Amino acid sequence: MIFRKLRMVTTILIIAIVLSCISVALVRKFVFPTPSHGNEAPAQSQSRVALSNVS
Amino acid sequence: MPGFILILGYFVIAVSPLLILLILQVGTPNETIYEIARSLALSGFVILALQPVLVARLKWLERPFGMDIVSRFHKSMGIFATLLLISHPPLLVLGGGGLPLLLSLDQPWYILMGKIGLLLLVIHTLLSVFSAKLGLKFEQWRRIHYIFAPLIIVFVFVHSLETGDDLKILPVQVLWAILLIVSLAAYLYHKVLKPIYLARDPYRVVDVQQETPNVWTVKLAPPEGMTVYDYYPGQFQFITFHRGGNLPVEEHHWTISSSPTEKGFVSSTIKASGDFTSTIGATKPGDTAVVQAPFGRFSYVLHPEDKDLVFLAGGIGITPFMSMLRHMRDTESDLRVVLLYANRSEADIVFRNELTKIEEAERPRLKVVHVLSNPDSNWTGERGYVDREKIARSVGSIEGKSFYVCGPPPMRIKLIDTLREMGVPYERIRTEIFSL
Repeated sequence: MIFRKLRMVTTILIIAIVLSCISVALVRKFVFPTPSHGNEAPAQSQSRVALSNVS
Repeated sequence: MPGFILILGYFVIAVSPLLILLILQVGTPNETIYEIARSLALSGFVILALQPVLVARLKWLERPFGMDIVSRFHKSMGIFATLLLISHPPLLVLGGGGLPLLLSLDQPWYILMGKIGLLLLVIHTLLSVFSAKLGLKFEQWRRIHYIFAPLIIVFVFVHSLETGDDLKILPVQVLWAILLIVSLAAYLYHKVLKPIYLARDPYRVVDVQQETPNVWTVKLAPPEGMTVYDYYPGQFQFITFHRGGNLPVEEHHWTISSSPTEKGFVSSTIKASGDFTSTIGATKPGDTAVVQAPFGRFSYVLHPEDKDLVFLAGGIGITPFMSMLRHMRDTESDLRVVLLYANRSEADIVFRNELTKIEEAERPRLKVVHVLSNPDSNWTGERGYVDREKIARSVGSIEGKSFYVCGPPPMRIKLIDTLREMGVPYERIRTEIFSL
């Protein structure tokens, strides 16, 4: 019955998305080179700056 | 197959910002938990932005699954996106973001905007999950839902655009712009453009027939010079009646009880059971109705492999079966059909005479078994509820039979459990959750 399949598909999808988020975070942290000063990736920590402002 | 491609496509879009970051090999100096918090938020926003698309009644999206499935998926993913976004601030704090991020209000406007967006999202989700327990009427909930939804998406969009490092990368910015445009376009299409388009050519009420003390059949004719839309027997339609006076103008969905073989009109048979439907008897020929249809996949014509069918109907749940039986009658189908039709009393049986006629004509080979829970003393038919014994008695062997179930939710759930206990495989049980 299709509702059983829906539950299964939704569960798999949710697990896959969460695992993707965690995996990408780990890869970015430990595999890709960290942006260094003078040769920064486009995404240098603006939010860090913002957060340190409010801390 | 199209369904599988759509689900795969949904997954790819949900993780698309992460894929861009992987392809561009964007590293990070942040703590791992901090980075996970940001990844969850990126996917959370994408899922949120896709929500209006899921419920925009797009035919290509609804066709492979059925609207009830898409609606349930929308609800599940809404809860999931809320959880992803709720986890974002505490994980940022755990990852070194600083406790004030969570507790302080003395923060830049874009952080506050994110907080307000998240608060609205949590309220929005709680109202959706607990609407019945909170005593919210469907129409009230729907109004709140449609006001909150675009606000939340815009708040979260602005917050992420202004705050997120990753949103400083051009491909992610382009993705974000596309998501916002698609999301708001789906919302506008569903709530503004489509209703305006449909209202240009409203259907006309041509007949209102009282079937039982609290059930009416409303017959609608298409606009002058047009034909009724194509539909499968068993599908449903959205109708907004315009009846003048103080009668409410609300959109509701009802199963089509006519058959596509009956030309020139389409009808829905409606039970007076709520605030709106209690006024259905006041509908008069000459009133107009804006119709959006057809929707749903609860139809025997979508399952040509079914040759031996069992219909289990409860109360007004007879309507899709009536549409299918009329279609079988008009196409002189020789399918075998057993209909177990549960009602409270004889007075509540809708379409009784017509069912008898179809049964007598033997096209299809129909056997009707009425089951009454509160019959008069002179009732000689089945008494009580549709249960395992009555199904076995009426149907015989379950081998090779397909079971279609439609009725009030408790009955539907109970019957599906019963069928499973009897050994009917899931693939042979067909049903539709009608409350969207």
